[in-house]
Amino acid sequence: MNELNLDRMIIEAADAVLETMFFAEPLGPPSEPREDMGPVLQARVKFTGKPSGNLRVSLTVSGARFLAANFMGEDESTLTSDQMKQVVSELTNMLCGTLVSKVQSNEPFDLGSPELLAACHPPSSRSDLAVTAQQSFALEAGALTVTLCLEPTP
Amino acid sequence: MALNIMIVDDSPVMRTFIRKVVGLTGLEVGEFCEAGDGRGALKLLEDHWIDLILTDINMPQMNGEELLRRLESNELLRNIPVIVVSTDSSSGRIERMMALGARGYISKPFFPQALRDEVGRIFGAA
Repeated sequence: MNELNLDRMIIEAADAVLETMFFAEPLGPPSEPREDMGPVLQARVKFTGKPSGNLRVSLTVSGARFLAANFMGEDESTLTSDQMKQVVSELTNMLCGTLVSKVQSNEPFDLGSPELLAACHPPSSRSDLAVTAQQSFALEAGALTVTLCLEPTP
Repeated sequence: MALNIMIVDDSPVMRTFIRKVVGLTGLEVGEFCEAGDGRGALKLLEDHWIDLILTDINMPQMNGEELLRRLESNELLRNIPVIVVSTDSSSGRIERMMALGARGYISKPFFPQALRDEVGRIFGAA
């Protein structure tokens, strides 16, 4: 499995999840660097299988508001912070399930529960696995970054 | 025929989404009930007539697998059709849930039509 395939799998997973569940589509790479995109909401799902690892989603607040409104069929102005966090968690859960199914097509796997991360959680820290593949997407509002970290296979 | 539908998922926003999707399918709904896990679902079933259960698998207190086992072991509840709605699309999981008594399985993400097709398949065959 090489990084090019994983990048493509991330793109395909994002396409599928955003289109079917969020009535949105990735619009290509963001025009701004990540550090200029403002505050973000982040969540992570750990999975076990062959291989094990985790998937992290980082969504700008404007992106989270946009996707949450689409997901719930509500006006953005009525959304609560809690609802937005729950939607980010669900997005991460579905992206992880979709992506891991592609990576481990015939192997059983288990997904952990989504965990919200602090907005300042760095992309990789000593306790995290090294980034295996990462893709960033502009949305109609805001931007989404999907980061896949796989444990090294023995 | 209006269906009384129970949605079982530990995520409130996912329950909202599924309720919205059911509306988009054009299915005639009598009543929606919602529970955050299997234990809450069983409690609601004591007082509500339900025609269809849509359930997640991974939930606290009581997960979807245990809920299916409890439904199957109850003479009054075992005939309620259950459709599993889960991010886990592995063949092993699907087979396990169907063996426990699920009548249908929808993998997230899904288009609304997938839910309508699954409900139509189940009630069309009844």
